[in-house]
Amino acid sequence: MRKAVIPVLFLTSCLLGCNVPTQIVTPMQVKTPTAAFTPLPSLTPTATIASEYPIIDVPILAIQVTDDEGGRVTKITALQVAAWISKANEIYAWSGIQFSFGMQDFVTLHSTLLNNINGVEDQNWFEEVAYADQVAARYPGKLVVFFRWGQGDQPTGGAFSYWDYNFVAMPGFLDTSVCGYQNIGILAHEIGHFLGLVHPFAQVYKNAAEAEATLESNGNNPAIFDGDGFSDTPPDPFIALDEYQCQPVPGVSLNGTFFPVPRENIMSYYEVRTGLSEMQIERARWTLSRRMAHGMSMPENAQAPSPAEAQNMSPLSNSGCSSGIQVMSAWGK
Amino acid sequence: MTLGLPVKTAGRYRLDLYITSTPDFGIIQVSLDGTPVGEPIDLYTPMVMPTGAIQVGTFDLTQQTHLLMFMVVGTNEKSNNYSFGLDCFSLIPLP
Repeated sequence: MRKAVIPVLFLTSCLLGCNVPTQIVTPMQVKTPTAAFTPLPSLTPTATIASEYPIIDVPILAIQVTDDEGGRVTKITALQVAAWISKANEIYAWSGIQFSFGMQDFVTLHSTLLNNINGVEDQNWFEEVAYADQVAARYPGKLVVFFRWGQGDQPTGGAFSYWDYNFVAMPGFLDTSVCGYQNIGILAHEIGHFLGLVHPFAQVYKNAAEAEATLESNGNNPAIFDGDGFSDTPPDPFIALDEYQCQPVPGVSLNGTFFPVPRENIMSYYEVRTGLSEMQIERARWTLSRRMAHGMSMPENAQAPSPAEAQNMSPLSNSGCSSGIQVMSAWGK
Repeated sequence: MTLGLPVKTAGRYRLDLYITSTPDFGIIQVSLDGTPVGEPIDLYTPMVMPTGAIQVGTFDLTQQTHLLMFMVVGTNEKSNNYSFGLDCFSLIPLP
């Protein structure tokens, strides 16, 4: 064992879930699919590329969300879900991760709380996430995707997930677009977040001048554009202008340096995105294995029975290390 | 590092630890009253995340404060450091 100063952190019970209510009273109603849908042949894993990775089948459960009384019905059909999943299977083919989906995996849920979920700025964010996780837990072993309306009269086009949420939130099929086209890659992108992946860019720039200013103020260090820390995805100075995002330019020159951009990486915001890097695959497969060991949920500490909280204790003895208390709520839900 | 594990009623208990895993955490060995219990626990993960319940074992405990020791015995080759973070533990009485 190397000699080293070993900081020991007492983590609070707020590590995860301190603001999450323990009792959710919002009623859930689940309907079976209606006869309005065209019968859908089951989608089974379709990877035909000779991947080096063993195939992992991830069953998808699609939940179309409406308000409590049935209003603001998210515009999604089972066939549209299948189209998104088919694209995801194409993008994840080399990773060996494949998604399966059948007609019986499409249900409807009446919940205004969940239909409004939009992001961390939501007034009821913690309740929304807790309820979404609660619903997802009713389908152990499945990756639960909510298709929700969002807030207000107009449907959202946004989507999100993260590795400490046990669900993916999606919009209606035709409510989301990129570069003027229906965003067929967005489910694969959000599943990437569900599987522990982040964007290859550190932030979104409005124009090249803004990116150049950031680069200059950081000593022209390209690492300032690195969003994921992976050495096999280049630092991405993503500029949210059509000429960069939508045109097939291989990169952008900033302050005299050419930055190739990861146009084809599914975790980028470029189009057309077609795959993942090897390091992303390793991370995604690791996260998936951890989830699959827990019924597709991430493990959590918030449900410890009669917990003895570490932050309330004083070490009786310490040897070769230092200790302190660190609030961890910023890391979790 | 040693913590006091107070036991108010003698009996048989299961000890569950709730720890955190991160890219810079080490491998720890837990001991109870000076005896190593369970296997070393590798707390490296690519992302910051809770471990959930780690069942250390079941023990017959007397009514007193027992010594719960955490020793860092190494680190994963992918980890940046030797830290660890304890969230809480549960002492669950068994019939």
